Amino acid sequence: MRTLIFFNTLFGFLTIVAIVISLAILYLIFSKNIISGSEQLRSFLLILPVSVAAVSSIGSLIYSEVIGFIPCEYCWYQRYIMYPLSILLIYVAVTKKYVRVAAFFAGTGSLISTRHIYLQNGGGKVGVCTSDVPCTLKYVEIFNFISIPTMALVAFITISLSLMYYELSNEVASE
Amino acid sequence: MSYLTRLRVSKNIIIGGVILLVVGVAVAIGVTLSSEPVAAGLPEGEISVTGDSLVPYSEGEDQSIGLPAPSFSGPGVDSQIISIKNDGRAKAIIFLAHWCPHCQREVPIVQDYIDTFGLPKGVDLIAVATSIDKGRDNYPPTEWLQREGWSSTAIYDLNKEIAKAYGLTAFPYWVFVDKDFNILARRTGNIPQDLVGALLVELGKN
Repeated sequence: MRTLIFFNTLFGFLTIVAIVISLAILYLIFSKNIISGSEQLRSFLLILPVSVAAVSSIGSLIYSEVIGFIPCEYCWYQRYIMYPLSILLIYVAVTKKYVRVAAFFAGTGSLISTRHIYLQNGGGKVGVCTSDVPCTLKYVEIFNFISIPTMALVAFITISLSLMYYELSNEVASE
Repeated sequence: MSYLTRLRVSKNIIIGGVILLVVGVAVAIGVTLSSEPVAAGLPEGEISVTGDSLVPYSEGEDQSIGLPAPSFSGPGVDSQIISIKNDGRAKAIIFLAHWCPHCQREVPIVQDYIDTFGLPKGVDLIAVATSIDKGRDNYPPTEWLQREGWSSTAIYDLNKEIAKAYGLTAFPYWVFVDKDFNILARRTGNIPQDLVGALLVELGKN
């Protein structure tokens, strides 16, 4: 139980950090403040998605293999996107190619996470939990709002926004 | 930009990431050490089921209607063994999982009905807490049912044997048994409060 509290707090903290970073990037995009001259920022925008995807992948493995949560159907769909994305993002960070492909996958992942959150909050088939591993089940709910698909959604959004901002800053730089 | 400058940029990012991770781990350790251990556990006692098991429930025509319900016994909250068998009284048996949000919603609805109207004459209401999992939310179910003020019989199906015998496939799972201990109806999912009342009243007539 203490192991669960430790990892919940750690991943909850990292999720909040990711939310703050996403909001900062969103602010920069909407205020049309595209910084193109800073190489440090551009590096950060490619390394951040790699870190987020790696922590998310490791986190999902910790929840299933260390804590013992059995992934439901939608958890698996999100894993199918996040695991290959971790590899792809390393390639993107090294070569600076396929940025938009990675952003597309992250966007798709965020749609699946949104659907999972919807199911967890009473959407879909009303009033039933299947007896094996229902997608409606909230294994964790940190700070009363961060469930596992919420963490995944925040991760996918942070990855998408970082890559999007990187592309925008590339476009501004080439103008 | 030279290779060395690029290296310095990456180094700054890595240092930032490591600091963030260290802060996160420190916060997590702090919260873990200050958290109170989960009190209590589950009641103890042997589960036994006699009679033929029902086929797993699925929507549509139910082949189990009219068949004898399996008798069972298991521990209650204080580990005393409670037996559910043919005693001439109709029964509404609700199977609950402590981690299921729909069960968490159903219990106060049912309890509110009982607090307001009481159980109809000749009807017993039995909660069977099953699929108990220490790693999941809202554990232990004993504390959950006490917190909700559950006033009817509660049995803790520690090894899911009762649930299996009754053909449970989803939660919450209702099984209505007539006074001859035959299956009247089964259904899964939340039942609205007015329908809970109507079903219990109807059950009292059987």
